[in-house]
Amino acid sequence: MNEAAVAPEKGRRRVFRGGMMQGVIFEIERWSLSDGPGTRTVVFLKGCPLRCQWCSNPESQSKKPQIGIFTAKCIQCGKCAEACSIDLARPAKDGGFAEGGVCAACGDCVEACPSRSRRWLGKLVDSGEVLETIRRDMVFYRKSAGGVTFSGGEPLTQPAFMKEILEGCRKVGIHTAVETCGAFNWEASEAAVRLLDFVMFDLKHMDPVRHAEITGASNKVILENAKRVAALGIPMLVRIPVITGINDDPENIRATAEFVRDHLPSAVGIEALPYHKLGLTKYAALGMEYQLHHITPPDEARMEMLRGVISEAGVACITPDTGYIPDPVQPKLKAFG
Amino acid sequence: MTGMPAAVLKEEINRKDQRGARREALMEQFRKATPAICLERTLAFTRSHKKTEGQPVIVRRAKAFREVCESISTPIFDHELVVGTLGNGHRLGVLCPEMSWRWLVEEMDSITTREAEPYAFSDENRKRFLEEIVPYWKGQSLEEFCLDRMPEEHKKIGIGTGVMDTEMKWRSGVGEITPDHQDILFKKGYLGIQREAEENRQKFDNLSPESREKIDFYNAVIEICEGMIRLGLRYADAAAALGAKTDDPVRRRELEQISEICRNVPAHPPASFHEGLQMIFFVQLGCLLAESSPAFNVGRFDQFMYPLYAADIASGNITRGEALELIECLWIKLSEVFWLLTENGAKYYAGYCGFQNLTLGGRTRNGRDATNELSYLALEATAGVGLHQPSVSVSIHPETPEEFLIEVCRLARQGHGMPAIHNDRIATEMMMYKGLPPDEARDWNGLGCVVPSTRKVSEWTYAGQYNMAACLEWTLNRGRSRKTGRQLGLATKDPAEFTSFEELKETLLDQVRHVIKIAHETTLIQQTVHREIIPRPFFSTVVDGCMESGKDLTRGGALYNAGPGWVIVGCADTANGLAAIKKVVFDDKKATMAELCEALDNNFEGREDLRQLLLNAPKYGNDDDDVDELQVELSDFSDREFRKCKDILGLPFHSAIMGLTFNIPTGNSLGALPCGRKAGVPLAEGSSPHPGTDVSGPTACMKSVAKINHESQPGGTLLNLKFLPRVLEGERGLQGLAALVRAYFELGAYHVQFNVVDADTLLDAQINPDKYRNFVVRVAGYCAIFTELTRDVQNEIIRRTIHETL
Repeated sequence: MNEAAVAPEKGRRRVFRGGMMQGVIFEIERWSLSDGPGTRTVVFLKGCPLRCQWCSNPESQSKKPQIGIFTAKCIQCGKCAEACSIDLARPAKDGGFAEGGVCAACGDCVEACPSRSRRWLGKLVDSGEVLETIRRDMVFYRKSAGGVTFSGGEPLTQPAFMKEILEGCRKVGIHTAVETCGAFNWEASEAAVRLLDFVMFDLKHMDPVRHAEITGASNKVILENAKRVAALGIPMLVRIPVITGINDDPENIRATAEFVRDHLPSAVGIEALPYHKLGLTKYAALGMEYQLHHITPPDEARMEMLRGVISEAGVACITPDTGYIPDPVQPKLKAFG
Repeated sequence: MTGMPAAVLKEEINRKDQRGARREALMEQFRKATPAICLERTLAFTRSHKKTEGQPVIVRRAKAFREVCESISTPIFDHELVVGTLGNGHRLGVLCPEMSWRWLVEEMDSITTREAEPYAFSDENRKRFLEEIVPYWKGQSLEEFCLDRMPEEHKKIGIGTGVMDTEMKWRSGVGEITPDHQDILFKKGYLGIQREAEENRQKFDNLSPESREKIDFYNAVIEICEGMIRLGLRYADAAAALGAKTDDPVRRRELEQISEICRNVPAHPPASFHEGLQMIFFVQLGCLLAESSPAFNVGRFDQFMYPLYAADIASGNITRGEALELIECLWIKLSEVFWLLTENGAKYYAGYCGFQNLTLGGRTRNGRDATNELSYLALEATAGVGLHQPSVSVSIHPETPEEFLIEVCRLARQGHGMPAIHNDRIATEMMMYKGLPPDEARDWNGLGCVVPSTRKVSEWTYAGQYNMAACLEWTLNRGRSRKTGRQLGLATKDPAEFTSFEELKETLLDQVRHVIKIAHETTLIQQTVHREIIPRPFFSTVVDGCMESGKDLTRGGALYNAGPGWVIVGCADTANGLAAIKKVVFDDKKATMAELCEALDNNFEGREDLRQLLLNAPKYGNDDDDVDELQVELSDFSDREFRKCKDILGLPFHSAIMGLTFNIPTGNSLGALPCGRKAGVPLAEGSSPHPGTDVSGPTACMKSVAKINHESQPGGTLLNLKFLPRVLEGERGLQGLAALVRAYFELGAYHVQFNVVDADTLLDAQINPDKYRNFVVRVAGYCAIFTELTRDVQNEIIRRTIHETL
C-alpha cells in the first residue's frame, strides 16, 4: 500500500463536539514497564514531523488513518475485492491491490475482511474514549506509581487533543508522561506540556546537519524545546536511540550528555536505547521501504561503553535496573485547579 | 560480609562450595534414577491382609500399614541428610491394589514404554504382581466396587470420554490432606498420639456398636503409630550400620547424626531444625505408603518450622547456610516420591508429580503478617534446587513485605513456574465459604496444585471435573458428540431453530444442569464406597478431631469437613463460543445457526471466512465486558447448581476452575467450537484465557479473570500468565511483576503463576532433551521436568508460550 491508499480527510479535522476534542491515534498499549515510571498505558498518537530512518512505528508518521495490509493473516477469501467499489482491492496474498487506480481509503475492504488482514492503522477518536481506556487500568497505576504515557508519532502535534486528555487525567490523579521527539510548536503546545508530570525527550544527534540527514529536520527547535521543558521544572528523561553507525559515536553521546548536564537542570538522566528491528512487519503492511536492513543492533559491550561516556560527563544513566527516577521518589499528584 | 576476618570469610566460602557440591551430587543421583514401580508396600500390605481376614476393615488397614513399615527396605543414599524412600529404590511410586490393581494388568505391556510417565517394572515384580497380588484383590478393590455401583448412564459420559472424569476417586485414594504438624505431630510425636489413643480407648466399653467402632478406631490408630515409630527406628539402625562401615569421617559423622535423629523422630516431637525436616519427610512417606494419592501437603512450612529454626540459630546449633542446605535436601527428597498414574491419569496429571504443596508467607491466625526468615530461605532453596517439588505456594496480603514479594517475583522470573502466587484474603474467603470460621480460614494452606485448604479440614477438593464446552457442543448438536455422534447429553431442539441468543443460552444451562446431576450422584456413590472399604486410619492421626471423636475421616471424624469440589473445564471456551454466536449470528447476522452448525460439523473446512469472523468476535481475556460477563454468568451458575447438591455428610458441593492438564484430553474429545477453535485442540487452561486470544496485555487479561467471583469457586481458580523473559528485565521488571500481583489481588482474584520462558528454549528442549534433563516448567498449577512430559503436553506448553504477533 502507498500514500494513495490514505484517506484524505480523516484525521485532518479536529472537530470540537460538545467539549470533546477528537484526535488520531493508532494504538493504546496497556501495560508497559519501559515507557515511564511504574505500570504505564501508552497512547500512540499519529503524525510526526520527523522521518527517522530507523523509525519502529512507521504507521505513526502520517497524520491520517491508513489501511494496513497484513499478508500473514490473509485467507484469500476475496471478500475485499467484492467490497471494493472501484475494483482495486485484492487479497493481501495477491498483492493487496490491482494495478492502477487510486485507493480512496473508504474502508469498505477493511469492513469486509473477516480475518483482520486489512485493518485500519489509526482512527479518529474522542478524547473521552481515550480517557475511558486509560482509566481501565487505574488499579495497576495505583499499585505501581504508574500512569499514562503519550507516544507516537509526535504526540504534541495534536496539542489541544492532548491537553483535554491530560486535564481529565489530572482530575482523577493519573500520572502523565510524554515521549517526544522535541519537534513541536512550542506556542501551540505549551499549555499541554505544563500539564505533564514527566517528559521523555529524544535527542537523536547533537549536530544539526547530521540530525537533518538522518531525521529530515534540523535539531534547532528540538534543543530549544528541551530547554523550555527543563525551564518549567518538569522532571525529564533524555533518551538516545542508539543506531549503529548513525549516532553511536562516543563524541555524539558525550556532546548529548554535556548538553543535558549544562542546559537541562530538571533532567534525571539519560537512557540509551539500543536500536531494534521490531517494526519491520509494519513497513511491509504499509508498503513502505525499510532503509536500514544492513544495520545490526549495538551489542551489550557497545552499550556499556556508551553508558560509561554518559557517566563520565556527570550524567546519570537510566537502565531497567535503576528505575526512571534514580532516587526513587514517588510521582506526586498535582492538585487540580 | 564486611568486617569478617579473612580466615572466617574463606571458611564461609568453602562451606558454601560444599553446600553447592552436596546439592549437585544429590541432583546427579536424582537425574540418574529411573522412576519405578515399587512392589514392597504392595506385597507387605497384601501379606498382612491375608493374616487379618475377618477383622474390622479399619484395623486391617492399620495393621497392613504397620507391616509395611516393619518390612520395606530402608536404603540411605550417598550425600543425603534427609533420608527415606518408599521401598527399594530412588524415585518410586507405590501400587495400592486395594484401590485398583486392574489398571496395571491392563497396561502391563506398555507401562515401561508408554509415552506419558513410563515406569520401570522388573520382570520379577511383574510375576509376583500377577501371582501374589492380583488373585487376592480380585473383586475387592475400590475400582470394582465403584464401577459395580455406577449406573450405565454415568459410565457413558464419565469414563474415558473427556466429558466428565472421576478416575482419581475410583482408582486411587483421596489424598488431599495437610498433616497437622503444628498442633499434632510436632507437639506429640507418634508416641504421644499412641498414648492418647490408648487413654481414649479406656473410655469406651464394648457394649454398643458405636463404642465398638470407636475402640476399633483407636486400635487402628495405635497400630499406625507403632508402624511409624518402627519405621524411624529401622532408619536409625540402617544409618548407624552404614556409618560404621563408612571410612570417610565426615560422612560417618553425618550418618551417626542421622541415626540419632531417626531415633527421636517420628516417635517424639522434633528437637531441632534438622529433626523437623526429617519428621516432615517421614510423615510424607507415611502418607504415600498408606495410600498412593496426590496432594499430601507439607503445609505452612515457614510457620511450624520457624520455632525450631530460631532456637537452633540462637543456640549456635546451626547457621543460616546449613539450614539452607538441609532444606535443599528435603526438597530433593520430595521430588523423588510420586503418585503412580494410570495411562488415563497420566494424560491429566503427567510429570512424576506428588502435588505436595508447601505454603509460605500469609497471615497468622490473628491476622498479622506471618512472613519470616524461613519464608526467604525456602524461596532460596527452591531457586537453588530448581526441581518440580515441593509445589511452592506463596500467600500475599496487603501487609506482605515488599522485599518478600520481590523475592517471589525474582524466583518466578527464573522461568521454572514456581511459585504459585495466591491472594491470602480470597483464599480466606474461600475457606469461610467452605464452612470454616475466620481464624481457621486465615490459617489456610495450598493443597495439590492451587486449592485452598487447611490442616484442620477433611475434604474432597477434587471429586471430579466436567467439560463445560461439551455442554455447548451438545447444545449445538441436539445432545450428541460431534466427534463420535453418540447421544451423551439431553436431546435438545434442533439448533437451527433457536430464535434468540437467550434461548440458546438457556439450553446450554440445561445441559450443564444435566451433567451436574450425574456428577452429584457419582460422587455420592464413590463417597459411600470409600467409607465402606478404605477408611483412613493413618490420616486420622494427622487431622484434628478424629482422636477426640473416635471416628475415622471417612466417617466425618475431623473437626471440620467440607463438601466435594468439582472442576469446570473449558469455561472460557464456552463463554467465547457464546459471545461469538451472539455477535456473528444474532447481532451482526453474518451467518445463520444452520450455517454455523454445518461449519462446525465440517471443522470449518471451506468456511475459513466464517471461522475468522468467529475468531475476531470478543474473547475472554481482553477486559471486554460483553464476553467476560458470560464467563462470570457461567461460573456463577456452576457454583449455584453445585451448592444445591449435598454429600454423604450433608455438606454442600462446590465448584472450581483450576487446571492440571485437563484441558488437553477434554479438548481432544470435542469437535470444532463456535469460538473458532478447531476440533481436537486443547481447551483453555483453568481460569486462563484460551491461548493466543488474550491480545490486550497482562492487565487486560488480569482484569478479565478477576471479574470471576473467585470466592465462589473455593476449589481454586488458576491464571497462567506468560511473559517473554526480555519484557521483565532489570529491577524494573521485578517491580512491574510485583505491582501486577498487588493489583490483581486488589481486584479480588485468587491465584496467578508466571511462565517466563520463550518458545525457542522450549523447542530446543524438545529437540535436545539431554541438554535439559532438569528443565522444570510450569504445566498447570504444578511443575514438571519438561523432557519428562508427553509430546502433547509439551506442545501445549509451547502453544501457549508463543504470543500472537501481527
